[in-house]
Amino acid sequence: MSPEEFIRRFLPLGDNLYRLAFSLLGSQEEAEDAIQDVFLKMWASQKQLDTVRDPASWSYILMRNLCVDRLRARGDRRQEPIPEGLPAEPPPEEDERLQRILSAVRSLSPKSRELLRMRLVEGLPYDEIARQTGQSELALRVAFHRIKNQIKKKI
Amino acid sequence: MKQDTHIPEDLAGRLEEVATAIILAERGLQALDDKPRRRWVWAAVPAVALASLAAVLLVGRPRPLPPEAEAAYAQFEKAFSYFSEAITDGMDSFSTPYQETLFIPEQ
Repeated sequence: MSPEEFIRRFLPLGDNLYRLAFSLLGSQEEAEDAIQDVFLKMWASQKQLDTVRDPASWSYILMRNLCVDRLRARGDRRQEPIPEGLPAEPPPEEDERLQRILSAVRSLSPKSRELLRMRLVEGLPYDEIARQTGQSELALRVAFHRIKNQIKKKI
Repeated sequence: MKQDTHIPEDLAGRLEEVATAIILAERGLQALDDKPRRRWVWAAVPAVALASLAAVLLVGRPRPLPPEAEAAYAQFEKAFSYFSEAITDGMDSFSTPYQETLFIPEQ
């Protein structure tokens, strides 16, 4: 499955997954972190993604179990994880790699994150980004060069 | 499930960060490079070809030296011919009509 297809199929589940996370964790900040973690886990398990018949159910199970782990880490043992038929956890090194990359992205300035979004998620070429942002293409090349260096340092 | 939980405004931004991280993980930093602009490349080919031809025609053509430089160059050519003869003959010095004997450094 390509990243674009994953984003198209699974990210729209974000609102409902947030509601689930918030209802279990009781904190907006923890729920937002949980949302990011669960999507990274889902992508890190990409070998199984093509076999998932019901993405919504699978994502809810993953989110629920992730929240249960967090609650248990807090000492709250009221919730039990869903036992059988679980998708396998992604390999930890892949999960950690994705977390490092996400952390590197989040450490960028809002302007740099917006440029990343336009280039990677929207797939816009430099001349279109230049047109929309009012920057010159030369300034954009310098900006992307700096962004690449900043990300390289962190991962 | 009751759906009355307020969705925070920046959730979309957080999800876009996830999307960015996933694409970076899959494609690497080269995904940030600009897409190749083939039209630009093809349009540049005739310009590059013309520029190369002009360079060959202008630079490759021998230019006449000023008269004083011509005389100095002739002297240099003659002196160099004495030097290269001496080297060829295994001599350790040579002399020219213009200067005193010059010693060839040991190799």
